[in-house]
Amino acid sequence: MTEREFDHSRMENALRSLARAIDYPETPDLAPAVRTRIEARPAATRAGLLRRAEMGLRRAALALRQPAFAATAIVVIASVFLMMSPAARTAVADWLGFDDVRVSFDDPPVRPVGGELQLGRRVSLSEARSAVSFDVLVPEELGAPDEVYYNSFVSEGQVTLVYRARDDLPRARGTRVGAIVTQFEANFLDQQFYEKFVRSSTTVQEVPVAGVRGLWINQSHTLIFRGADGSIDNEDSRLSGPSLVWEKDGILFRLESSLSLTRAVAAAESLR
Amino acid sequence: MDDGALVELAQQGDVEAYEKLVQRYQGLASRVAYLVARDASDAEDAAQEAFVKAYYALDRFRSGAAFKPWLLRIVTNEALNRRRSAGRRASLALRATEERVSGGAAPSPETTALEHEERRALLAAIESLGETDRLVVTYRYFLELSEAEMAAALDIPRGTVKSRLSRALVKLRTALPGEVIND
Repeated sequence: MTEREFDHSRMENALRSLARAIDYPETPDLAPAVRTRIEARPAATRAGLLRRAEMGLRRAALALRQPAFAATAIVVIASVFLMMSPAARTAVADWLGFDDVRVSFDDPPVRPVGGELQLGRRVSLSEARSAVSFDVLVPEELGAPDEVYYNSFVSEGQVTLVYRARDDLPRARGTRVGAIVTQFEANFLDQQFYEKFVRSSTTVQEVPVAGVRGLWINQSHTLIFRGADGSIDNEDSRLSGPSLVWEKDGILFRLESSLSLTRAVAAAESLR
Repeated sequence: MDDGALVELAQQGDVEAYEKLVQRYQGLASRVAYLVARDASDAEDAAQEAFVKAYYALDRFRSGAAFKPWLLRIVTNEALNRRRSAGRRASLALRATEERVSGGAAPSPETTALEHEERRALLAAIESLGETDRLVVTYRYFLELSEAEMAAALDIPRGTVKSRLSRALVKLRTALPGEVIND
């Protein structure tokens, strides 16, 4: 037995011992309340009808799958979308998003708060690097960030680089700074993700970024943080400017700026 | 009737079948909710909410998958949401003495009971971990999930479960005062 295995085995025994000492509250009988709540809104169980609608929409969505989505097509999807259940909406959004970022063609459920970026605690780049287990990358095209923030909205931590507006980096509409680059580990429990609510007139485009698939959302949209179960924290919503989102090696990146698509992709590909 | 059959009936709108699943898993759901939310009232709310949300999400449940880890994900998420919005929380409640393992057998020498202070220190160390590490420790040692169940509940490969668990144990050891467990 190696020293580490020995240590682990002592720790494991200690944890099992601790587990036996936890004083759990008495188990409540949840079944009656759950049943009452389910029976109060039974319509959502019309699975067959819903699945057919979902399949139809998926087929329509796939037929529209092109490098750029025409605004008219989006309007059609958006209007159908509003009539669908959350489950079906998620299914369609899955096709367009990643595991942790989804795009919904829908009206935002909460009013954007704007202004406040709520990026977390201000830290130095080296502090941010030691706070997370992934490599924090900096886009060479943009240079060293002016500010760095860390937050634990996601379990493995999220790091955001902030660039003040400057001549070659005009102020972005959503953030009122030049650019922000957010990165976090994309596989964190897979329970939460950002959701972007785009207006029906917004163009969402698939673009290659350093050999992987990216999404380019060229207009302002509402960015919210929510759980996969649909819960939404109003405080975490804000208006987002044009953004490029991509996932590489398990890390989710988001570049929000007023840069053109070409420059945004160049910045994204210069991450080191 | 096994979980799969009950899920299938529930997917077709059979509320009674779903009620059986709730009864079967409400103990486990309440425990995980309490371990994550660390508050009895929030835990009950989270578990109830999770069962309701799981029902409406049954359409997305993959046929043939295990219901238990899938439900645990939803419960955990509900409990995490409550804990985050509540801010700092008290520690888990501990009994003065350990619960005897079923059957009443005396603990083996390898599972020697910890002193109360040691338990407190270990609990504090667990609470100092990041969310993911805390969750893998909770799932493995408090809820005694198998690696396969953990992989499904966390939606990560089994190899990743092993490495995360190992990493969490190393972190725990580092977080503990020298004289606790490590001697």
